[in-house]
Order: sequence, then C-alpha cells, then structure tokens
Amino acid sequence: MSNVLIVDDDRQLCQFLTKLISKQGHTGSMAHSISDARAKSRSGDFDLVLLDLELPDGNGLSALADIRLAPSSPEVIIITGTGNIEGAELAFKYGAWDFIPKPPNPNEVILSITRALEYRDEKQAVQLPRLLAREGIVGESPALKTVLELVAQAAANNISVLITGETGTGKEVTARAIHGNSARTDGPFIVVDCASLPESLIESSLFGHEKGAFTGATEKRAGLIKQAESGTLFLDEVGELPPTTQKKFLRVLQEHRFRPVGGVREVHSDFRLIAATNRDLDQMIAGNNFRQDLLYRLRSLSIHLPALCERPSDIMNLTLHHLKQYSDTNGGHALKGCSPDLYEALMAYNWPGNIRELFNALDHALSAAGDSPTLHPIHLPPTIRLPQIRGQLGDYDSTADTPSDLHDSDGNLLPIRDYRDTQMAAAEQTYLMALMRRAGGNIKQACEISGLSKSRLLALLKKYDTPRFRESK
Amino acid sequence: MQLHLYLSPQAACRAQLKEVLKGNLEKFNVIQYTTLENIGRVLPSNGTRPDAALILLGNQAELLQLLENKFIRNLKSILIFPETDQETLQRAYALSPITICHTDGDFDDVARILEHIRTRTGATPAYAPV
Repeated sequence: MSNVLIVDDDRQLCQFLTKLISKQGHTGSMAHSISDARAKSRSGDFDLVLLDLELPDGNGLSALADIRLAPSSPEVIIITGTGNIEGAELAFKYGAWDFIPKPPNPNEVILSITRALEYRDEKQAVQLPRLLAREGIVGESPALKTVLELVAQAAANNISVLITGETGTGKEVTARAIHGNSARTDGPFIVVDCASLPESLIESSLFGHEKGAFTGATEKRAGLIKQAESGTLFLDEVGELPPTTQKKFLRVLQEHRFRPVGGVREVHSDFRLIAATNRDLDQMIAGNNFRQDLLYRLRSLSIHLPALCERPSDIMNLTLHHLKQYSDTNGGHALKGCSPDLYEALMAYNWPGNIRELFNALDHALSAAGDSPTLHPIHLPPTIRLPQIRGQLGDYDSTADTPSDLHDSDGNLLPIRDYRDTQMAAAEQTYLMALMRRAGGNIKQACEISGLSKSRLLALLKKYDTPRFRESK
Repeated sequence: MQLHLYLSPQAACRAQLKEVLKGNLEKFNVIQYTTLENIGRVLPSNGTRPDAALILLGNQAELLQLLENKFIRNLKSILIFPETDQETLQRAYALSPITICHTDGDFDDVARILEHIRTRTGATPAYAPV
C-alpha cells in the first residue's frame, strides 16, 4: 500500500482521484494549493504526488523541485489541461514521471500510478552510492539537487546517458562525475568533440584506421572507441554527427563491434556511452537530421542541466569555488574576497553563456584586480555590469504612462475606482519589467516565477508593450 | 575565438608543421607561447565555446610537463607529440583533446581541423606573442 498526495484546487477532481486510488489499495490525501502541497510533502511520507500546474497561488512547477526533495522523495505525475503542454515538457526536464491530461481517463490514471509506484519500488531496491563525489558540480539549488540525484542513478549502472543543456552549463563536468562515481572510474574517460572534428575525419577518429587506409594514414591507429575500452566514451555535441556516422555508430551501440577504416577484421570494445548536446534532437529527427533509433539508444537515461539563470542561488557558490581554484592553481595566492556590490552585479546579469561565461568574467576580474585583495564590480567586464546599472537607473519604458498622482489634470481628487485602476496598471507594469529582466526574456521561466499562464503573460506584455530584454532560445 | 599556440623548439618537425599550417594560422587570433608553463594563462575570449589550442611537443619530458598544466584543461586542444606508451597516451586523452597526432605524420588532419573550427566559430585574425 502506498501514500499518494493529490494537489489540485478542483476539490471534486481531488475526491474522484482519491476514490480511484483507494480502490487500488492505496491511501490518498489532498492539497489545494502550492503552500499546502509543500507543507504536506515535507511532513508526510508520500510515495507519489499528482500535481496540477495551475494552482491558485502559482504554477505547480515552482513546487516540483521542493516536492521531489521532500524526505520521502516521491515520484511526481503532472495533471495538466491541454493548454499547458509546454509546462509538462518543462516538468519532465525536472524529474516528473508522467503527465495526465485533463479531464483524466480513469484507466490511464491507474496505469500511470501503477507504473510510477513499481518504478519507485525497483529504485528503492537498488543500492545507490551513499556519498556522491561531485567532481566539480557546484551548487545547492533544488534544480541542481535533481541533477545530482540523476548522476547518482547513472553512476550506479551501465546504461547510456544523454545530457542536455545550453552551452556552458557543465555537460562535460557532469559526464565526468558519472564516470568518476561509476564502477568504470579506473578506466579511461575519452572525449569525442563531434563539433570540432570535420566530417572527413570523424570516422577514422572514432573507429581508427589501418595503415594505408587513406592518404596520410602512415600508421595503424586505434580509434577513440577502442581507447575507451573498460571506460567511458563521451560524445560531446552528438547532434553534429554526420548521418553516415550516425548509422555506423548505432551498430556499434547495438553490437559493441566495429571495423576500423580500411580494416578487414572487426574489433570489440566494452565501453559505457555518455552523450551530450545543446540541440533539440527531437526537432532534428523531425527535420531528418538525426536518427530516431540512435536517439532511443542514447537516451536510456536523460539528464537536463538547468541554465545558470534558472539557479541563481548557485552563483555565489560557483564564484567562491572558482576563486578557490584560482588561488590553488596560482601557487597558493591569497584567496580574494568579493564585495557585496560584486555579488549584486553577478546576480543582476543573465548569463547567456552560463557557467563558462561566469568563470571567464571572474578570470577577467581577477586579472583586473591585480594585487587588490577584494573584487569589486569595476573589475568586471562592462557588459556584465550593465544590467545592475540599468536596474539602479530604473530603466522603464518611456512610452508607457506612469501615473503617480491622486489628482486629475484639473486638480480634483480622482474617484477611488480610477485611482485604483491607474495604480494597479502601474504596479503590473513595474512587476512585468522586473519579471522579464529576471527571466532574461524567457517566457517559460517568467511563467514559472510569476505563476501566470503563458497566454495571460503574453496578453499583459502586449497590453503594456513591455520589453523582453533577451530573446528566448 | 583565440588559438593558443605552442610549437616546441625541440620538435624536429616544427618547420614542417608551420609550412603545412601557414595558411590556417593567419586566419586566427593567435596567442603564441614561448614556454610550456604559460600555456592557457592568457585570458580566454568571451565566446560561448572554449578557446582552441595547438600544441606541438618535442619529447616525452615536455608531454609529462604539459600533463601537469592546470590551465590546459580549459582549452580544446590539438596535441602533437612523439609516439609514446599506452599509459602516457591515456593520460593525454584525459585532457579531452580534439585529437592527438604524432610527430611523424603529415599534419593534413591538423590543417583540416583548424579550418573546420575557424569556419564554425568565425575566428578573425590577429597575433600576440606571450
């Protein structure tokens, strides 16, 4: 018997689902808001949570990470209306098990719940490493803790892993952490940069070649797949693999055998595969640029790395980590401090280049600071400082009305309704400016922060002609 | 994107490599190092990908010295060194190079990789010795 928490403000639906769950021999409890869901998941011992995305006090996604981090670490199934498929997609990236469209079909609900609970039983029976060596993964945010949980799962077995995320989010670092915590840690970790190798060289790099196989092949060479024997092969930017290589590599994944370029005999290699990409492989499949059967093989386990702007609470930890590394690498130079202004500047910037851009900016700051014991905003590259300065200057849309007076143009006190409407409009404008700056123009993130649906947010942005600050990718 | 360059004076094939790559190198913003310890110390460019590096080593001692360089791991490198034992080769692969070539090759692969990188990143020419 399992404990299931149903989070939905539709009380009739909650009662319907509770009855359905009871008939399966489980116990159902209800919560009707995000705050209630958080409190109950923290104190209760739930195996599964059914979570609605549209709740009275915000978007259910904002509670997903906290619910997953509750002591009982429940699985989460999303309940969503047909207008919120993007929310469901985002939920999967953060560890949701499944989604059920509304109105829910009883048989689908039972099947989804049964599978989730079976998976949970299997997971709890597996011995996961107690202590995970982070190997350079820095941060304590809920988003990152979800990643670490998946890294631990990946490290505990040999299945192939696909790591997705924007450039600079730490895909190679994550792959190294999986390798370092796995049974293959004493074996090689071989990186294949699929983006840097031209098409004419990628096959000979991967599969190796015989002497004389082509012009310039003066010696027999073992390829990277063979070099990864007993270890891990990391295919970085796997979306750049040419179609012919995708086909050959698929066979390698199926049979662990391959023929070097110009070779007659097949070669065997026992390796574990981790792949990474910042591209949308499902979209590439739709455009016939990537093989679906290869993606199935790559994606036995999927780990999505959040953008740095999605985990701003980790910026300070990452900064301290990098400064410590700098001190260690430079002959034990005294560790430099950071002024509060510097942290404000770092937090105000959106980091489109993610962690790599943060570390580059800190390197520039360290160089500019010279012997100064403390880093200040003036040491940062100007582009990093600008958002903080804009915020201080109050960069509002000059074409918008910003009423601030109790009186009309004739000096008469405004009726309360009129005053209330203008103040509400001003408050909404102010909020939207801050929201879109914070979200860096990313609509999905803005919906998550504000609790607004996408349609409502877009309508408000259009109403006030609010700038978005950065186009979403 | 910057190209961090080190051509060991102890490598017999240094002149041959320069000849093969002369058309490629002039298209990059090149940071040329004169010592192994300094490789990677120059601040990276602000692109979305790591800077590239082309490193030619003359002997086993230089290779072992490079393996201790902590900055090299921040670069996407093309490593060229003499044939070596499997254990040292594995340590070189731990630096996540784009490719490893040996000093007895013809370096056409190196030229093709540099051209591919330049085309993808739109690198622009400049030169700075370090």
